[in-house]
Amino acid sequence: MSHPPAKILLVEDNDDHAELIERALDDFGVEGTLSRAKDGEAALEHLFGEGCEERRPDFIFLDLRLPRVDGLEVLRRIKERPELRSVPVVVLTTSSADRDLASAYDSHVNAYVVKPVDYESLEKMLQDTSTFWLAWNRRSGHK
Amino acid sequence: MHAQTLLVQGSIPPVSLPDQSDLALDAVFEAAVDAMIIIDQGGIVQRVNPAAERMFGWSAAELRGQNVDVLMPSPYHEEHAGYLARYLETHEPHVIGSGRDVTARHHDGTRFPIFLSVGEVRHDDQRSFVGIIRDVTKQKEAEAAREGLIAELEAKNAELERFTYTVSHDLKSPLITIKGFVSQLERSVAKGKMDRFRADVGRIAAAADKLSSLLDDVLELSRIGRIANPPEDVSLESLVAGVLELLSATIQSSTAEIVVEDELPVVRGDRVRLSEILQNLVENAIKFSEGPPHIEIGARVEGSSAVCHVRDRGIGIDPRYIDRVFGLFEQLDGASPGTGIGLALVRRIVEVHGGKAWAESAGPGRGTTIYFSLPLAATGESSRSR
Repeated sequence: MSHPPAKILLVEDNDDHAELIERALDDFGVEGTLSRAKDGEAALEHLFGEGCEERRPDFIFLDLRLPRVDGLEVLRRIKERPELRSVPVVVLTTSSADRDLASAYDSHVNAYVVKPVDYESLEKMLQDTSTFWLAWNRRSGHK
Repeated sequence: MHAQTLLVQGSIPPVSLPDQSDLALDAVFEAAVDAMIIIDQGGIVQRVNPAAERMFGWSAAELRGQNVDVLMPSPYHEEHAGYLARYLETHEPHVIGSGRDVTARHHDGTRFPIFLSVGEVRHDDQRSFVGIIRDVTKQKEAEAAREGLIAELEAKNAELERFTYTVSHDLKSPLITIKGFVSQLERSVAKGKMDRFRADVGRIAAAADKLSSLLDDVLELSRIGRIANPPEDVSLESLVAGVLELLSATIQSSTAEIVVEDELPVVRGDRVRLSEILQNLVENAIKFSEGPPHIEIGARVEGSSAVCHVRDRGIGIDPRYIDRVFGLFEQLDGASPGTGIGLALVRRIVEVHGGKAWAESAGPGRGTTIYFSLPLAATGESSRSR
């Protein structure tokens, strides 16, 4: 197994949550480099700005309630671009509102996860989703 | 006037009534609660019942011989003769046989809503018409009141839904931080990472503080609608002066220059809440300025409202996000201090006063103006007893 490390983009405005997610991925030993965007605008810049091809992530964790451009808008922009459509996007949010869930699936989200309050569940959830999608990426020859 | 045949409904053929029933019909006519007016085919009033006299404010003697269009406001007043002529020519009923909602005109000129049905009376080659009129003012008022209440309830419900959504999301966020880092503490101890341990304790404490201030904000916001001081006439001039006094320390330390327009209007509202609007806006203008803040406060009169503004030359707002600044716990810059309650509070207070709050900005770096409208004090009528 000599895959290049996966590029993971974490779109999360809350520094503490970002730190927890990073630690959980570390603890689990996800092979990858993590980039972080602190708001929707930064996420769009990362995905569509100059030199974006180099940075193109293999996997995206996306918070919904973000400053400037909200997560649903970022999701829509990702999924309407042919070159990004196949990148798995996992919405990771505190919102369990039906309309957010429905809007995210309408915009072709790959998974919608409500942030669990305790760390162990968060860790488990991150492991499960990232393992699944990274494995899926490799099998389908995306990278 | 004695009807020989009476057409009650367009679809019912004329019924011949025996003469002995005339007395009974007279009794119906005189005692009916609905107004009844009989006109000839030229529209001239032949007979009215007591209910019609009460409803329209005319006596039967005054009305008899007049054209029935005196009981109609424009445009029915002008068009009635045409309706009648058209019916006599085509026999195509518009009102006859089916009731309809129209507007009537009282003797004193006031208009009121009625439900009108018309029956036709044929005798030989002559026709006359019986109008049966119900005053539906109360019913219409009740309908309007009900519609208003429903709209108000729907708006309140939608607001509550948004509120619950925001609150549940934003309160959960620090909780995740607290629980997440608490479980990290043990791991740090086990690994001997005491620096990380201390840093995480700091994160936990900060998240607990954040939770506490969010809860305070939520309570504050919910109080605005519930607890209101009685409305009074509030001079914006004295209100602005009071707020600037209150914020004098902040203003001094920021070396802000504040320009207040002369002759600000007098508005009506809850003085304490109105002062909170200005306080929030001035604080925001200072907070979001780079360098010494320059702030202008003013107002203009528009109809029965005062449109007030607080303008700064600060960091401005990207026009794409301008509507989001009033959202609860919404912060365009995640790093800015506070919880993001200020403008949500402003909008809520303004809306409780029946006004609107909005923002304008030419873009980032080009300053922001927050506008809000408030009802003007009723000048000259303020002494009128209520």
